[in-house]
This record gives sequence, C-alpha cells and structure tokens, in this order.
Amino acid sequence: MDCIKYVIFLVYLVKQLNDIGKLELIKFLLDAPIMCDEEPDFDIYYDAVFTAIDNIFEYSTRRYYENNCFELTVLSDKVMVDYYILAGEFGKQRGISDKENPYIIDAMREAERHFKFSYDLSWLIYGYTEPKRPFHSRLAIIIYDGGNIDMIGVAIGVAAMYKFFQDKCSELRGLLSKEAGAA
Amino acid sequence: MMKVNVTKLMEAISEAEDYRAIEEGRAGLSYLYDSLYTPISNGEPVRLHDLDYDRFSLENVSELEDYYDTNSLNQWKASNISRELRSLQPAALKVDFL
Repeated sequence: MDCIKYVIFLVYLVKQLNDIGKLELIKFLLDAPIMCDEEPDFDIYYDAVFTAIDNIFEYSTRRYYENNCFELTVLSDKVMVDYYILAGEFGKQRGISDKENPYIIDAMREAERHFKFSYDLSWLIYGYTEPKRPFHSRLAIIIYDGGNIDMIGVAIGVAAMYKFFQDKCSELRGLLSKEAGAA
Repeated sequence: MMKVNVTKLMEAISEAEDYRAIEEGRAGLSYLYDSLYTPISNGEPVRLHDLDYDRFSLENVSELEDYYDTNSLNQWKASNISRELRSLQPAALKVDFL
C-alpha cells in the first residue's frame, strides 16, 4: 500500500478514536510529523495500529497458537458486557429468545461487516445476557498464518465495534427506561 | 498508424473544463483535501494533532480515499496519453501555398 493511502486509513482510525473518546491512546502518533517522502517510516504507524487494537477495549489478550498456526486476540469491555445485559432485558420484556434477539443478531452482523475482508481473518462473539464473571462477553479475532492481512483494517474494525456497543448501549438504556417509565 | 490533428487537440484542451479537485459545498471533504491531502501529496509534513476532527466525518475520509483512487487512475491514463503523443512521428503534409 502506498504512503498516501496509508495516511488516509490512519486518519480514519484517528477519527474513530476521537469519536469514541480514546484519542489519547495514540498521542505519540498525533505529535509525530508524517511525511510521504521517498522512504516513509511505517514503524510509528504500525505502533499506532497495534496500540489501538490492544487498548480500545479495556480487556485484551493476544496469543499465538503455534500448533494451529493462528493468532488469537480476545477483547472485552464494560460497554460490550453492558450491551448484552441490556439486550437480554430487551428480549425478556418481549419474550424473545437470544437467538431471535435483534440486538444480538445486529452485533454479529456488525462484526461481519467489519471483519469479513480476508479469508485469513475470522472472528467470534461470545455474548452473555447474564454474565457470570467480569468481561464474560468477548470478541475474539483470529488471524491465520500466511495471510496478508492489513492490520489497520483490523484496528478500524475493533474501533467500529466499540462505537457500535457504545451507541447501542445508549439506545437500549433510553428505550428500556422509557418503557419502565410508561409501565 | 495513429494520426493526431494538433490543431484539433489544442482546441479540445482549451475547451476542456477547468479542473476542480473538490466540488463546492463539501465542507468536510474540502477541509481534508486542504489540510491533509495537499500537503502530504506535495511531500510536506503533516501532524495529525493539527487536524480538527470535528470538521469532518468518517464518510469524508472514505470520500477522500475514493478521490485519491480516481485521481491516481486519471494520472495514470494522462501519463499514458502523454507517452503516446510524445512517441508520434511528425508527418510531412502537402502545403498548398508552396
């Protein structure tokens, strides 16, 4: 990918971080002069990308499984945990099962929208409407060996998922409190 | 053999509409074009800290990417036409007044 295109993607990611209130995560990048001269230094860009992936969600682990040749990143956050609890309340009030719950289905679709850009990338969502432990609801991202995945695409997807949970939590809280007030 | 009428080519060039990078009324995209795209494509440094993130949307960033792709393609086409024109051999024509 050429430098200008990369800078455009980077600005997209920075704008996402601004919109979710997490711009300080990549402060080191914001202050650095970026140039697209003959030999751009991509190291700082990749630092920003991995910093974003590892820190947007409060809980984050990454592990490489040598025998299965893939890297697994597991992410969770209060907004994600709250989202599934609120979605569960929404479903209970309407007698809808988790499988038919539109909010649970929406989260799957949102993940598909952001992570379905390479055959070497896969994802799973474990969402619990009644969590048993902290950070129980999780987003897992699997990156297989040998793939040529642009990690800025993964970072953009992670930021988009966070924004999705953040926005939908507000929506669900508003909806549920309105209904509680009406009852 | 390709033939080019130089007079007609010059007429066509002079009649072509002025190039406008970004249409008017697209504030977010114009802001990104002026503050990010122009300096970075001229090899000048840009600090992401200096951008005002409230002046554009994520859609504007995607539009800038589309603009960059289209512009790159057009530049490639223009350089191909230019190369073709430079490689043309001049042809001798019968001139009536001689």
